[in-house]
Amino acid sequence: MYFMDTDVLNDQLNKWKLQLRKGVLLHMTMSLLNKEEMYGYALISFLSKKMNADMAEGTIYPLLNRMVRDGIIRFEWRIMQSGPARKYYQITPQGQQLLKQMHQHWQLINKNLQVLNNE
Amino acid sequence: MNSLHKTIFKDQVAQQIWTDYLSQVELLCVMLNQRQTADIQMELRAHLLESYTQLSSGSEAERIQSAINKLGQPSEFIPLWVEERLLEGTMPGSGTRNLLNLFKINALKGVKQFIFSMLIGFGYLLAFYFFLSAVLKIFFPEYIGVYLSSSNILFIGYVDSEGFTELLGYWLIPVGLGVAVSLQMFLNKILTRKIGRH
Repeated sequence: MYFMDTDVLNDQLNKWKLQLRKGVLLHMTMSLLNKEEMYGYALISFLSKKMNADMAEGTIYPLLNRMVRDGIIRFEWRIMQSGPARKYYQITPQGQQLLKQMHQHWQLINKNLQVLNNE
Repeated sequence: MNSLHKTIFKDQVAQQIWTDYLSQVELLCVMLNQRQTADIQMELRAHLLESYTQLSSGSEAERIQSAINKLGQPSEFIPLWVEERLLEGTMPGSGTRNLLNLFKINALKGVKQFIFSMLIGFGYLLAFYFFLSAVLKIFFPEYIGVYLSSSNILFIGYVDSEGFTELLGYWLIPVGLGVAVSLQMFLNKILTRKIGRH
C-alpha cells in the first residue's frame, strides 16, 4: 500500500482549496449581494470570514468590475455623512437569474457527491 | 499633488506611505482616462481608510501599512482591474476605440502577445492600404493599380514610369475594397476573441 507523505497531502489539499475558492468566489459574492447591497470593504471582510481564507483584499475589485461589465451587478456611489464616499454594489435581475441557475447546479453537484460517497 | 492624495495623517511617515501607495496606483492606471482612474482611486481610498479605522492598536504608520498589506500591493491586482476597465463596453465590432483598448491589453501581456499585437497592427495597416488604393484608383486611374514589373514582381500602388503591366484595371476598386473589409473583419474577430478568454 502506498502512503502519501503528509507534506504532499497538505500541498494537494491546499491546491484543491485554492481552486475551489476561485470557483465559488463568484457564487458567494452573488449570494451575498442578493441578500443586501454592499460596498467593497464590507464584502471582502465578509467573504474572508466565510471562506476562512487569507485573501489579498484587492483581488475582489477586478472580479466586481467584471461582474458589472457582464451586467450581473451594478453599482452606485453614495456620499456618506462621515468618511469617504462608498461604492455600493447590488445584484441585477440578470444576476438573480444567473444565481438561481448557479444554485441549482451547485445542488446537483452536491447531491451527486453525496450519492457517490454513500455508494 | 492629486487631490485624492491630500494630507489626512498627522504622522509624516504614514502620510508618505499613503501618498506612495496612491501614486503607484495612479501610475498603473496610466492607460485609463481620468474618470476611470479617479473611480479606482476613490474606491481604494475608501477601502484603505475603513480598514485603517478598524485597527485600534499601533501608530498611524503601522496601521496604514497593515491596511495596505491586507489590501495587497498595487501590482498584484491593479493591472487586472485596469484590464477590466479597458474592456468595458468592448464587444465584437463595437468601434475603433474598443479595438484599440484590446490592442493595448494584448500588447502589454508579454513578448509573445506583443509580437501578436504587432502582426495584428500590420494587418490593419494592410487593410487600410487596400482601401486607400481602391479609393485612389477612382481619382488617379492612370497611376494607381496592381502592377507586374519587368522582373515579374507584383505590387499594388503608384506607378508613373514605363515597363509595368497593369493587371486588374478598374477591378482594383471592388477587389481592393473587398479585401480591405474582409481583412478588417477577420482581424476584428481575432482581436475580440480575446474577450472570451478573460
